[in-house]
Amino acid sequence: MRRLAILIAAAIAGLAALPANAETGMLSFVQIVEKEFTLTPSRPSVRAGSVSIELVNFGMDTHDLVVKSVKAGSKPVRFKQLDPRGRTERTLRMTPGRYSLWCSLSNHKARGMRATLIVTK
Amino acid sequence: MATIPHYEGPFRTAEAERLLWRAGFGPRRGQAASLARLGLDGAVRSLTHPPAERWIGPAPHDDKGHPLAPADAYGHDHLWWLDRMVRTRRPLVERMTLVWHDWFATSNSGVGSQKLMLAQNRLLRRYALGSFRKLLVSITANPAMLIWLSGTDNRKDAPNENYGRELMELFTLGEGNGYTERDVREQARALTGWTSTWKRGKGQTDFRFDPRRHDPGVKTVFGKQGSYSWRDSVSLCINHPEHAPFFVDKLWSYFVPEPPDARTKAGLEELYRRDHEVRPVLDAILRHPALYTGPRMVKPPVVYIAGLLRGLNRGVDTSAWVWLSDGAGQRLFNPPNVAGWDDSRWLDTNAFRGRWYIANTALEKVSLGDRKGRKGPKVPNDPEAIVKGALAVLGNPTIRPETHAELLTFARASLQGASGWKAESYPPLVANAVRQLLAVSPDLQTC
Repeated sequence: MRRLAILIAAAIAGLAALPANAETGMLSFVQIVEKEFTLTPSRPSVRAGSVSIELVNFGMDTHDLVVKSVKAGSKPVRFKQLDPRGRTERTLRMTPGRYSLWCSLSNHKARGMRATLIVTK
Repeated sequence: MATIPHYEGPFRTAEAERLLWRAGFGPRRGQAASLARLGLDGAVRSLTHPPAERWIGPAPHDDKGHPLAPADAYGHDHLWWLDRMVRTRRPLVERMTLVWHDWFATSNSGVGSQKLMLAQNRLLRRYALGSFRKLLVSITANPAMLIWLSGTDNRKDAPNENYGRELMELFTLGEGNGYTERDVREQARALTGWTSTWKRGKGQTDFRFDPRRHDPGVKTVFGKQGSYSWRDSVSLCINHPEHAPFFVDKLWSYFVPEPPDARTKAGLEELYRRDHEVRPVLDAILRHPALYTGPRMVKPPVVYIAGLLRGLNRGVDTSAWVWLSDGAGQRLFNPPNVAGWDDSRWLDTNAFRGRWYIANTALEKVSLGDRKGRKGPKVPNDPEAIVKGALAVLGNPTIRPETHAELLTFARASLQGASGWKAESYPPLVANAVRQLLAVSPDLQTC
């Protein structure tokens, strides 16, 4: 029951982390390339539903990634910190809307490591 | 014109097989015999003048059955191209695309955009059999290359020598062959002017030539003076007397492991100098006796993988090919450096181990015996039938009699004394082992 409540809350916030083996039909892919001090999605928009977000660190410093819907009250999803040449992937359930992406380490966001991802219907 | 020797020997299935491996990714089932029926001239023509592309076989997917996203997911770029190699009806076009990828080796490790790498791949394919001059002009202005070799950092007040140096050293003339350090510096000046715009969320975009960043002054290149532009820089290299010999030697080396004799070399250079078209030179190389009678060549890892899949009638259905190919020394879109892959290391002790894994993965879907509680087809307790079966599974490749004898010896020894329950349970295990040994044999690692 508690788990269900958490999932509902996350869905309301517009974004939910899926279990690794969840199969929800069509999967969209987007790759986020990070380096000092840029953060570039491989595409400006993805379709709503299951989205595989892959984070690749092409820089020389450690970076992380936060994904958050711009809707008020939404909860951010945090990716683990990546060492240079590191790579990680998470599949998220994303509803239509605008999402902010940034690196939360130090002043990386202020120095340019931020971007927007549009999730379309 | 120097006459280029032409292969006059028999053109049988074995010769057609070698041609399909050298100029492509090996035969599909029965393809070598069909090609042999065309004769040498017809076979070569079918490769150098291919039909429109039409994919053969099932569409590729990852381990979870999702379609590939080559611009958006790690490794899918590699799988996307491997799939083209497996399913193409234009093997020489794909093979030449691979040759140009090695020749103008650009790595995503420095570019950081699979999308730009794929755009470069399309460019290489467009000129696969076409004009080297046009290819060189286009690759010089290609966004992935402009990032990789610092073209967009090369401006008149701070010339960057990266591209100018490699243009001569690796792409057109050869190391220290007919140019000086001063030529490198002057070429860098001629190549100034490229730039791009950084846009948040899009990365580097709008790659363009900006005359304000170009050094319009007089340069001295190869002893000639002029207000050379980037296009002049390319033309100076193409028109350099050392270019045609370099081009012929390098292109030849992708198809024949020993250098051409003097007469052949002179003929090929003359052919190339006419209009810098690649197709006629390829046509002559693919008809040359050295290709059919000379020593064997080691198959590059991706060629080996694509060929196994073609022989097995299997499509790209697992992402494992990315790390398996990498483990054998070749990750597409990620050559080790600007000089491309070192093919003298294809069979070193580390990379060869990768080929064992490749063979194992390629064969796992057709492996025999009990799987997941289900009984497989009965395998006869007969060494000869087992070796014959292994050859059939792999598309009946031509192998040397010695290899055939070794496989038979292994099968016989393994089945010796297999009576009682062993008479039924050993043959599938031995058959799987024979298939694996065949797939990693020198006969299948080379062509």
